[in-house]
Amino acid sequence: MKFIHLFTTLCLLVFLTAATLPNQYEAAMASAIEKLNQARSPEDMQQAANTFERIGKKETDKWLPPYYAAYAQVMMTAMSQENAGKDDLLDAALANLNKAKKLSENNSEILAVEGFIHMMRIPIDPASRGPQYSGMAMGALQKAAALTPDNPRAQLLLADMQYGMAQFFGSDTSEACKTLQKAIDLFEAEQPADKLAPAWGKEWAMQSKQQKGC
Amino acid sequence: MRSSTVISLFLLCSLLVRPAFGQSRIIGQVVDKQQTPIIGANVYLEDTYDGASTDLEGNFFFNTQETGTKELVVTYLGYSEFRRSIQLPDDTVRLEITLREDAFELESVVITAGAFEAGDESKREILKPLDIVTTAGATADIAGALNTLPGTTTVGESGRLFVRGGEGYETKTFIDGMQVMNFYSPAAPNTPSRSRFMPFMFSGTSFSTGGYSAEYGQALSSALILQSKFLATQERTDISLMSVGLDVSTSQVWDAASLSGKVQYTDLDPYMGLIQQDLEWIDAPTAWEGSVAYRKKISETGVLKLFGNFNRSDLSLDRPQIADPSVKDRFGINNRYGYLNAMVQEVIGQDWTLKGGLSYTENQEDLTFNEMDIDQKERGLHSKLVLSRQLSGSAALKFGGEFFNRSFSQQLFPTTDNSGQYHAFTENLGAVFAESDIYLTNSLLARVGLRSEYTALSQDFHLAPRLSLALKTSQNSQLSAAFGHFRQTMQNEWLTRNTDLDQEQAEHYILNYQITGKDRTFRIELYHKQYRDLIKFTSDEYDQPVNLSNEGAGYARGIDLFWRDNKTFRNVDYWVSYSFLDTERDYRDYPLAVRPHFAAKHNFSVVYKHFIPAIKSQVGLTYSFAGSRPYQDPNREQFMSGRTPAYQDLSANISYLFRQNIILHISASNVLGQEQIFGYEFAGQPNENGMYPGRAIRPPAPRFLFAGVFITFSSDAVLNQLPNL
Repeated sequence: MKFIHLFTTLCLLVFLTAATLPNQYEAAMASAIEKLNQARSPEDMQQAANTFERIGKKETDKWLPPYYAAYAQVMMTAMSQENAGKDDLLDAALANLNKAKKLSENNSEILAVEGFIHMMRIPIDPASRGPQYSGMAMGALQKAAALTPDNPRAQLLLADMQYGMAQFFGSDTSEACKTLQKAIDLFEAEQPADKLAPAWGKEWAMQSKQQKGC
Repeated sequence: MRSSTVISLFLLCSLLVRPAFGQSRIIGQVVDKQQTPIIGANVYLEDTYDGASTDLEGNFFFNTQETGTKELVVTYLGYSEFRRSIQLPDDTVRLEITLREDAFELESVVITAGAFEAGDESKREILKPLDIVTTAGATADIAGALNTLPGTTTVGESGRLFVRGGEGYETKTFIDGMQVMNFYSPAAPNTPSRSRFMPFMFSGTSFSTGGYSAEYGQALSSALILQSKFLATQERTDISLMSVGLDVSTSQVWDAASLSGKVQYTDLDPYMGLIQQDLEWIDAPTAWEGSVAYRKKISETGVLKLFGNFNRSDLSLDRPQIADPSVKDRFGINNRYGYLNAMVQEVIGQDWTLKGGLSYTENQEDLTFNEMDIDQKERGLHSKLVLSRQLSGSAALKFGGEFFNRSFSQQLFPTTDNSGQYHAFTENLGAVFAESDIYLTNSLLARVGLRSEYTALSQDFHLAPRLSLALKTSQNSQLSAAFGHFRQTMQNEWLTRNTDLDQEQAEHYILNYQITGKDRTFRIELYHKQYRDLIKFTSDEYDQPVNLSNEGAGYARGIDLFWRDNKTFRNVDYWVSYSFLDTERDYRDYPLAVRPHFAAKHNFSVVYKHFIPAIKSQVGLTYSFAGSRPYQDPNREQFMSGRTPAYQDLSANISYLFRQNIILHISASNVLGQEQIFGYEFAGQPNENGMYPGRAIRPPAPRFLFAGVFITFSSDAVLNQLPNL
């Protein structure tokens, strides 16, 4: 009797779990963010971007899916050695980011990725794009930093921009290093609001510190 | 009960429950037309979370518990979306999917015949805005930089763009689609004029040496289409201190609007005083210039641009007479110029884009020649409306209309008694045009256009067909061809004498082959241009044109070659142009068809730019060669049989980044000091020996030197004026 009782209870439990997954959105996002964090190649990033785009097509009122899709796409260009096709990818990233922007205005995280997209246009043709896109990137990143001063990702990207500019002009990189240290301190102290909130960048900041010799 | 039993029971339950949801397995492969797997395509069921990305072999699979009719969607950047309805549940759905390349993503097929594009965003551009302003010898003049491209002839005494055997006036300039009248600033006789607009204003330049779109008319040879910049992104103030003057510009930025202004004062008096000139300046060119640009985003998709340019300049000099150099003629120009341009663009409904523009030019030129005054005033209004849309499938359509109203008046009077001559005319010209881009196949694009114009002055109605084809011959190469009819109203100096003169016309035939690799471009272009209805007249005993008619004709044909490479050498970018030109025309008061004085058979130029990080400097060199040009020597029996020596020039410049926001710039033309002779001019009357005395037309000084300091103030000090130089 006890056996039958347990069997029905378990069956009911499985049925309920399967039918009303507590929050399908959160589960899907959490697993996609996990994949994104483990991505090490443009192909992995493409997979992650695709997943976020799929979720975004279904959940049209949430800013995180298009935000992450844009981030994954700009990371693809950062990982790729080939310039061909980068502009198309950055256009696609910007289109996704604009979707996110419409759903969440004055969002520091979104502005940081916008700065990142402008920044990645520069290495494609530094001499002719530098002046224009460095201005646009700095504009977006400074706005991001002003909106949320303790957003470590805005500081990390700012540090990258400052370092690139200093190298190009052959000037002192200490200011860039200072910003990078600020980013690292902010990463150490960061307490993500929830498990879906943007939390990327810490590992990059650490690597960046080593590479730049800060 | 042991835990293992619980787990077994749990699994059993799962098996029992699951089939109720209808598990389906969806597998397949995504390839392109050549059967090459597409990696990273997004495959999913619409309105669900279920989907997957294709792997390195283009394969995908995923499970779904959805039931009923669902849409399977496949997307990949640069390809058209794929959709198919599938019935679920189904044990295994197997799909072989071929994605088609999106026609509009196919950058490789673009109309290139005749056109040199320069844009920030265009992925196929040959020249960038920065290239225009960093070319040595161009001294930041748009026309100066474009003169290093094939199809142009260096005409040093004019400074204008002479394209493929055409005169300077045969090139028309458009800003945001609106015609600009009097594009060049006035200059002293036989000295080069500069374009009035600074290159930094523009984000895109399209220089067409023939066969251009039906949207543009009133230009026989060439269209220079400039796209002004949109919203300024950062507040900044720039100050330039130059050997020829100074300027200040500033930009204010709001959320969806920006306002930029610039004031410039140039005075060549100190420079001319310092460096020995052949010209006897009374007042070297002095100019005030102001410009204002307002930009606004009027909606998510709408754009408003307002632009105004105001300019005032003076110059006067003494020119020795040819027959007797001790007698001098005084020559002076006082010019006031205003240009206003307004443009609105908005997306209407789903697919249509509407563009409307209005421009107004006013140019007043008061010339003095000894005791004689010539006052010229020209006003022009240009309005235009263009509708365009992308059609379903692979076509695009554009049509619109435009209207020109232009009036010109010229008053000649001796200053002593005010009894003079007065000539004036007003021209009304209406035009409608339609043009369509049709992808005949993915690799063959046709652009078919028709333009019709009605001019009230000569009461003429014309049709001008245009046709371009582009065929992609491989991944990086394409073959283009273009044909078109082009018309242009007679020049003011003839119309003031006879308003019945019809428009001049030209037919272009162009064949172009282009290979564009990564950071390397090679192109070759063959062309033939037939001129008809050119101005023809006879000169009376006072050297005044009489019996004006449209009976002039001519031809120009040749080969243009272009090679650009910024890959082979590190930090080096160079391009090489060569043009061969064979042209003859019988126009004006020519007794027969000959090569005109502005046409050199061979034109060759090399532009070299080298960024040297160690000294934070960009060094530029430009070498130009133009073959000998004909000139009319009245002492020779045969008409136009004089030949100038070949022209050579080596110009150099250097830009040094002193600080992130401070740039020092020095440039010099003709560093080797080679003798440059543009032609010869002769006295109107023979001397006592029966010979016409003559003299060479040379630049006023062997070299032109320029130095400047450019400082930028912005909130973050990362900006500089590099793109302006």
